Amino acid sequence: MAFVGFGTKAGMVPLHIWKPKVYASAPDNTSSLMAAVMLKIAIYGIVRHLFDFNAIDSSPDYVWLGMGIIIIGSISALVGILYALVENDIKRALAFSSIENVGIIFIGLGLSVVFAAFHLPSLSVLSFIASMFHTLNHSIFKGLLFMTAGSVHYSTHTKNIEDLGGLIKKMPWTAMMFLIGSVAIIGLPSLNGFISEWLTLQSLLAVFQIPSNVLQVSLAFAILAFALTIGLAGATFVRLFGVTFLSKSRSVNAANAIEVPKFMLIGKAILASSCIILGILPFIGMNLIVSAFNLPYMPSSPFETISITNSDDSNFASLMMPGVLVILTSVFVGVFVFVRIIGGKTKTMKYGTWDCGFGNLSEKTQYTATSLAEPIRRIFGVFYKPHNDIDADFYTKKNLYLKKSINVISTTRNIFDEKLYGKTISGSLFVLNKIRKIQSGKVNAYILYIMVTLVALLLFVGFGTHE
Amino acid sequence: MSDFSIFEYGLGILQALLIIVLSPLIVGIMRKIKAKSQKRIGAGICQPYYDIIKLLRKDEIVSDQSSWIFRVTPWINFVTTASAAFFIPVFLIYSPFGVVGDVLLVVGLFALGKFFMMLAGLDVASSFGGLGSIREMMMSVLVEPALFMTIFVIALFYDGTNISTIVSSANDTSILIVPGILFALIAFFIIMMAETGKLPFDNPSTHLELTMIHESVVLEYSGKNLALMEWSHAIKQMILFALFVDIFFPWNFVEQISLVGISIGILVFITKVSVLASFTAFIETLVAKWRLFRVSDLIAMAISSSMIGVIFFFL
Amino acid sequence: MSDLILPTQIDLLHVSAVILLIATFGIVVRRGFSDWLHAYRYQTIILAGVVTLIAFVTSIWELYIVSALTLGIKAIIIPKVLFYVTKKLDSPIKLEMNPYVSLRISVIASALLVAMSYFMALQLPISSDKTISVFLPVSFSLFFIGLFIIISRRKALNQIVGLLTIENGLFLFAVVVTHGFSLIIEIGLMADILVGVIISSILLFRMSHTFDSVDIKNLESLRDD
Repeated sequence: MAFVGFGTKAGMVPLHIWKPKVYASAPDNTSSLMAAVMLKIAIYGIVRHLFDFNAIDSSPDYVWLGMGIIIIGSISALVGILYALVENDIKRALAFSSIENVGIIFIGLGLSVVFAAFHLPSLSVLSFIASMFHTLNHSIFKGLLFMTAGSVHYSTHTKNIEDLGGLIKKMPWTAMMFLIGSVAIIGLPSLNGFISEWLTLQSLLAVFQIPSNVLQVSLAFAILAFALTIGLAGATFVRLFGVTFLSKSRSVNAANAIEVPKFMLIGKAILASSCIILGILPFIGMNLIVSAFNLPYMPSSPFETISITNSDDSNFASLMMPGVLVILTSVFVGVFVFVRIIGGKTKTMKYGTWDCGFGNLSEKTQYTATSLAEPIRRIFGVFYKPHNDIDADFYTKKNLYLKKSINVISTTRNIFDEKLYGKTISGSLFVLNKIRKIQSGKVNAYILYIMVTLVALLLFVGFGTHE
Repeated sequence: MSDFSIFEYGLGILQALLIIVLSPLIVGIMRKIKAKSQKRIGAGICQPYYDIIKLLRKDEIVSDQSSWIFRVTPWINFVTTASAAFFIPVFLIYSPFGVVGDVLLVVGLFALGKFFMMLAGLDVASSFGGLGSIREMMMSVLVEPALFMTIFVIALFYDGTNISTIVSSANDTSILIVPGILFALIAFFIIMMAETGKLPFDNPSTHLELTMIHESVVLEYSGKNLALMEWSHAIKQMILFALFVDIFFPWNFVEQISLVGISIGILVFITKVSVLASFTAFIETLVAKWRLFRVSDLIAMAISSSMIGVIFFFL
Repeated sequence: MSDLILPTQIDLLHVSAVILLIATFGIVVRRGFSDWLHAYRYQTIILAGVVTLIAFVTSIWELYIVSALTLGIKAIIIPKVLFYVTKKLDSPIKLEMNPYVSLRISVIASALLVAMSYFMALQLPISSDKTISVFLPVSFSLFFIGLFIIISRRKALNQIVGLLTIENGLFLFAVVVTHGFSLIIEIGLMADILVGVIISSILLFRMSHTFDSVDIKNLESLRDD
């Protein structure tokens, strides 16, 4: 029960529908605070409940509880990011992405419970740190992103990214902050999101130490959902940043935008620099977590390597962000010198974008936010039920290729709003209708029934003899 | 963890430099083989080097719509890709920089470069760039699960995501003893084709709206920036090839460090990579470009193949 | 320089099981009529190889004959018959256009079916030779993937290929569990399949004549409403 309550607060699927609506309508400064702090209270509540009120022992109940948390976490992550991807309201998109991040945190927590139930304390601590570090990171970069989104709203008076564009030239510092936030949230190296996602992945990789085949395989498949989430998050923020800040302005408001006052930038700069510092020296954050939760784990110096070893002392995986930074800088210097020596000094000219010789590239020819999401909308059509209303106006009725104007209204639906909450009443009728459809006359369908029955029976027999 | 001497770090840098320097050569070899198998003569195998040097010396034209993202992207792309080369073993069985990062870091560095590349495609305000970006976006979203699943299989069989650990345990076994790794091989091969923009996924040799993915993102680049983009693409391909031969065909690594040993090791490595490159070039000649929305079928195959790999490990 | 470690018998069995599974996936991912038949043929050739391997490991000489029979009837004659049928069919498009389940989902579903088969093989109390029990889950997978092909596709030809895949799975199962039926029964089974394929080819012809297509959706009109 406690899990359902706190879960609703943290915004897990399917109890998440309040969240995008509230975040989008809250004032700009409040929503960043809400994302950063309120969400974490819910997670804190769950953590306390799990680890304090009932000491975890190796009863199968805890295994199933952990598995349940992982499953809900994966679904939240996937569904949250899928809806973030098609959302045109920048703040709603960020709210959906919060749901995704809560999902990732839950995956870590659930793994921690499962490991603890199987008496694997070191792995349990590893995944717990992963999940808590992601919580910390999320409050930093999500706060940053909501603040920058607020600044955009402040100077353009719109939250619809279809009306934005080209803001990087008008608001360079805000754009920079949003870029840092995006790189951090999609878990790219050298910022803090990478570390926590790396740790979560490593704890997912460690499932082979669980002594149960079924759990091993099903947890291994959880990695699919996790990886898909990471990929979709990348696409989401390419789209958000690209449409909001790059290319040409799509409306007058965006074209007349000005940079926000300095004091609004300072707060963001602090958050952005903590993203960078925690990315390069992750042990600062981890030591905080270790001391806060009193974990049986030694705090270490900030420059140390994160390292996981096998039983035979060979290196399973290790990561040393300062070292990565050194390599990146030295490569950069090397390339810069090389290019200078070989290439010499060259001039750079400014000229219009290549227009295929037609001329007049306007802001209408560039890709819009909706068209950027189109391929993914098509592939994951199950979740969106995409629907295009095409309304074409022809010059003559004879030639349908000469169009005067064409108006496409393309909509996506939130299946959770509609299907789960709208259809609970009509659901029973629906089920009855389905039952009537069993006798369809399709040969395939009949064989499907046979197969389902067979599989069910075989599984039943298998379990029955096993116990 | 054992500490390495300065000499060994020097060898590590040599390995990375080998990957960076030899990558255009592999591109040249692949183009030559493709040309030959299509009954054309084709340019010499050193042509990519001439191209890069020529481009580096040219003046460049930058779109007036673009911002600093556009100008910074080639550098970020090159630096991340070239840094990833430091973690790949070439003739030694390990890379001295293995402690710094693992295969997930390599993936992350690639993703960072790709992220900026997609932004640069959107930055120039032309529909070509946007077109390339969304296609690239779709592909990377779909490839991601397959990639992580394959890494998972490899990490399970060869205990670790650390590349040096993977290669040394791969060297101790053979593909015939660990059959589950065969599934990882298939999946990795498909991913490799997708990531380097090879033919069923992307046709790198045309400039046609219908087919191009990678080319339309770099369409607006010229001069130095174009050279860096092309070169980093070549390095990425080389790194993936090197990982492929390191993980699945880990034979003939140098054990005693001597001048002769190292040169033999380098020669063996070049041969292995060239054989793989020729094989991919042949495949490219054989297949046609797939429709964009059918590409996901192929990636689904990679995913399911690595899923069965997992099953083979556990059951 | 490390020596190449030579594989043992059990490793060989594992490898052949892997190759057989991969060949089975070849049927799932293809779209064209003749592609399926090619894929089926490769699969059967590999199956014959596997049976030979089992014969070698268990040293039962009947299995060699069974393997040769498999190669002869299932890998050569049946594909020939079906190729002939494909060539003679009227419909101009010889592709599975829109199956009930899209290709990418069916590939992943098949992977899940393989997972389930392995899981079930662990659970079922069928005790068998250690070396050969490698193939028990594989035979299950073949069986289920065959069923899945029948369910998910529209074209009648693919239903035949699915049926043949199921048959391959059952055949492998029989070889694994009982080390082969007696030779007479085996030959009888082969003849049975041959007749079955010929009858279904005739049905295919009738179908394409009556409905102008081989889409099994047309069979729905046979329902008594």
